[in-house]
Amino acid sequence: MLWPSSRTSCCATRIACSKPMEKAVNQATLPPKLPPAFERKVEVRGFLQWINAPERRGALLVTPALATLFLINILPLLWSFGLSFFNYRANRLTAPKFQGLENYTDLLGDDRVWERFVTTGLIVSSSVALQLLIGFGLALLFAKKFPMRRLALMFVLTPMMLSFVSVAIFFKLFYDPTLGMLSWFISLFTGESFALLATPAGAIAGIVIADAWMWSPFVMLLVLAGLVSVPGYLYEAAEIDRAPSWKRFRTITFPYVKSLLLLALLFRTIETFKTFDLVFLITEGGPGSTTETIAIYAYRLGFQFFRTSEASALAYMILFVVIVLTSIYLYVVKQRNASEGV
Amino acid sequence: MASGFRTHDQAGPVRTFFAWLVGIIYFAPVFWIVLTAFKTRADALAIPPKLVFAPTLDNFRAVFFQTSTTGEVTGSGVWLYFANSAFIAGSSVLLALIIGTLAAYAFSRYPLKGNDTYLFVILSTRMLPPIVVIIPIFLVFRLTGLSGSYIGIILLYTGFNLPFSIWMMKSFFDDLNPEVEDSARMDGSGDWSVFGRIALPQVKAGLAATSVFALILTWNEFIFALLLTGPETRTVPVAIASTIGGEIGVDWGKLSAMVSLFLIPVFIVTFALQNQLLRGVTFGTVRK
Amino acid sequence: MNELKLTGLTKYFGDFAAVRDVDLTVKPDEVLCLLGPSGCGKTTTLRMIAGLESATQGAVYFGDRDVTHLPARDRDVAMAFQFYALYPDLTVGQNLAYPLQAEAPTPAESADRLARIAEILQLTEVLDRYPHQLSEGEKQRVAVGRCVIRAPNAFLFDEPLSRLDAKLRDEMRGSIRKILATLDRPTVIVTHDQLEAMTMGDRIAVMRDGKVEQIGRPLDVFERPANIFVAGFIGTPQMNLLKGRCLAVNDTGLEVDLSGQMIRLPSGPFATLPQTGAEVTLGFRPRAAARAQDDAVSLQAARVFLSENMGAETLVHSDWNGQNLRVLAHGPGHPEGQVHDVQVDPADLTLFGADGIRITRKSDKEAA
Repeated sequence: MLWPSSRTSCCATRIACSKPMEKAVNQATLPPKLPPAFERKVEVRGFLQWINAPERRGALLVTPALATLFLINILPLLWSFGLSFFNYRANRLTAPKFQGLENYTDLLGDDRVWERFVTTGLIVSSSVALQLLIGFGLALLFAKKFPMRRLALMFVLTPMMLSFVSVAIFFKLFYDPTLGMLSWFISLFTGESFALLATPAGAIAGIVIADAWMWSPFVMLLVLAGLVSVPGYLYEAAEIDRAPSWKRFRTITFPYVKSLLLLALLFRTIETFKTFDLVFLITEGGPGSTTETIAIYAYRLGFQFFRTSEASALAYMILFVVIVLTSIYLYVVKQRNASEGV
Repeated sequence: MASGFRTHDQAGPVRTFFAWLVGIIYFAPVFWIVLTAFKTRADALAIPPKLVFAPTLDNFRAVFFQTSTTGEVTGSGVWLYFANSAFIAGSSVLLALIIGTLAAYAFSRYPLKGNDTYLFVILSTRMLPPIVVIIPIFLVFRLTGLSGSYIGIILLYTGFNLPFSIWMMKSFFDDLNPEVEDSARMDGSGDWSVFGRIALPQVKAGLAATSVFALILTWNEFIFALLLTGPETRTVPVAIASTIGGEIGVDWGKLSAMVSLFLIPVFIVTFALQNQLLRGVTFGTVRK
Repeated sequence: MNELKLTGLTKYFGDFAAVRDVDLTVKPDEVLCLLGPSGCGKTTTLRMIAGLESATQGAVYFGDRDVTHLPARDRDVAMAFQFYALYPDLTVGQNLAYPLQAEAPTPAESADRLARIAEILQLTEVLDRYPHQLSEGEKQRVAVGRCVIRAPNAFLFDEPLSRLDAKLRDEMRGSIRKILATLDRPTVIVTHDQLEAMTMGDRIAVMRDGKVEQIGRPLDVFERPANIFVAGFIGTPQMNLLKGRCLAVNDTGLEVDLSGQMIRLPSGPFATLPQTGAEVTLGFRPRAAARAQDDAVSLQAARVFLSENMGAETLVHSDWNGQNLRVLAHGPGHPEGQVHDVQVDPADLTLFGADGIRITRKSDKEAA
């Protein structure tokens, strides 16, 4: 025997004593003769026992989080959903009037809204395309070992960790017609200063360049993860089978990177679609309203023109797009995890 | 990098050269700002831009101290903004981490009915365009007087960090071997003790990565801070943005100094977190 | 001490029946091995005994006490997990002592037990190390030690040796067996390795598709497999199973048509006999062919297509009328393409009926 033989199963004794205790609780709650303070104590303990029951564990742990999210995210969301059916203006005291879908139909019939959607689409598509292209190239470049690779990686990865405010400052300085490097560099050839942000096309390019600088490292990070996860023996096998390099890339490398590239595309599309900070800080939507994205327009509607209800309706149209994209994103994540058994 | 990005293939000199070139190009704007922070006003405005100059700390002094017309030196409001940023980010991240870790553990270990739906809704709230939430939040804050208060912005950031904490921590809990917790249970430990003594110590690295990431996200956040903080609770990004509002008279040296200081924690974190960066920027949805 | 009893234990995951109607009794001083291919429900059964999985139907008893609805922590059962499940943030000593906190013996007794276990399992040197600093063999010993340090209602081992290399596995098998012999608690070991089951178990329960196919002492299961599945699953090399049809049955013998060749068996030893025309399966172990006598049944003209020399013996695979024959022969010298006759003693033949169930012999009772 490894243990003293005097020890018997402690399970039996544990069960034996827990049963009468439950009974005692039940009896204590039934007769009303006990002092009230004691009763309250039992009530509290009974409640704690109820809430701590194993079958309620998941719900108990999740409740604080769900309550917080409900209070801070969902409730405002519902409220603004409600608002979008009224003609409420935050700077007026008149009682809001219900007007059904009018805000939505107005917005959909408004050319200005469509212009903003087009602007947003232009920025999103060109910036995301640029990010994917550059990010992919960066990942290929960094897929091999070289001296101080960790430091070089950090240099490249820093932009996406920066605040939009800092990035905006960098690029405002960079684009500045009198002080900026860009203007100085172009003036070497043309002899005069260059204001990139003064023309609509230039302003959009300015935003796209800043956004791509900031987020192409994100794409690189995902693609790089895929690249280094390709087992080396596959390349060795391809080497032995004498597969040409383009075929090696298509049949070995690309399958490992494909899903990550798709995730990067979706993630960046969602994020760029709701871009506010960068545009707001670099061009403020100008010149004119040529770089005004849909998010900035909603902001202006809500906080500068105080057309609160219309802003809410517009916000909901943005939300709809984001939700659709998010569910596609999660679907891809799930497929990927299932196929890799993560 | 960690196991995640380790590679054994050696790069040739050409690739090494280009990789470093790209690294330097990517870092150049940051480098330029830091450089500008050490320039005198004249050097900062010089055309062509100066790479070699006599460095000065005047800009940093100007950030934190102001000299009145009588020559009296007093601390500027920037102290307060940095303190605000740190305090607001710190407390909201702490709250979100506590609440989020509990929920993440539950989502990982005690799946509820409709677990995936909850998780989807939670992630969606993080993917929301801020503009959607901000209108009603702004109205509520105005109504309740929370606008411009610490409690208001901390609560908001808690809600903002919570989905991130939940998804991140869930991904770390999912990585654990559940047998270890089963074993503790068989050894007579209750659920709470299993959580506290067995599961939590195993995700220490995850807790660190999640909190630091959330700290950076909060530290950087601009639009909520712009609309919902007051003069007393203003954070650094808002303070920086307010100085570039007007086209004329931007003191680039001083601004650069402020931005440089603001960036220091971000650099440290990016370097320390390289191994967890992938998980962090995708909210834990991509682990490898 | 109390025995462990399962009655009608059933587990559904959605529509999938992982465990179906398992009845088992494990006596206090007994080691039962749950043996089966992966996915047969053996681990689920173990987890239901442990309380980590709730039973859909049926009950688990420790003695007379129904513990079916008791959570794991209240069952007082010790379990060693397949991946050891050592607490990564605790030292070896803390790992070993962890189960003691629930029993709360005096500190002196705890220390005493810890020291004794550490010594038996040769872990004294590594008590202050963390699991990630241990070798695979040491981890395995810590997992076992954490189990046996206390006196639970039952011991459960999930694939205890599966992660060790062959040599270590042989060693550990012996030492675990030795330790288990000193514990008078019902013990259940889950394994997919029949060698482990045969050598470590007092009895074996062979499982397939969530059902227990046969329970018995290792040798009984080996010599008298209850059905074709058990016959094929137990024993290496695998038993030969030849399909045939019963052509004639009378008191003296039965004639079986095996792929066109007639085999005559004496009917005397069988307790029951198949009906004329019934499908039957004839089974015999590859080793039985080597020891056949003169009156043996002869399977003629089998053509060798693969000859595996295993040192002392050669495993000869032959094709016999389209059916595979595996025969162990002494020494080398069975070139591929050779045609040979395979002799089997009728006493070594196992006969299965059309339903796959073994047709019992009159001698079974004496053997049991």
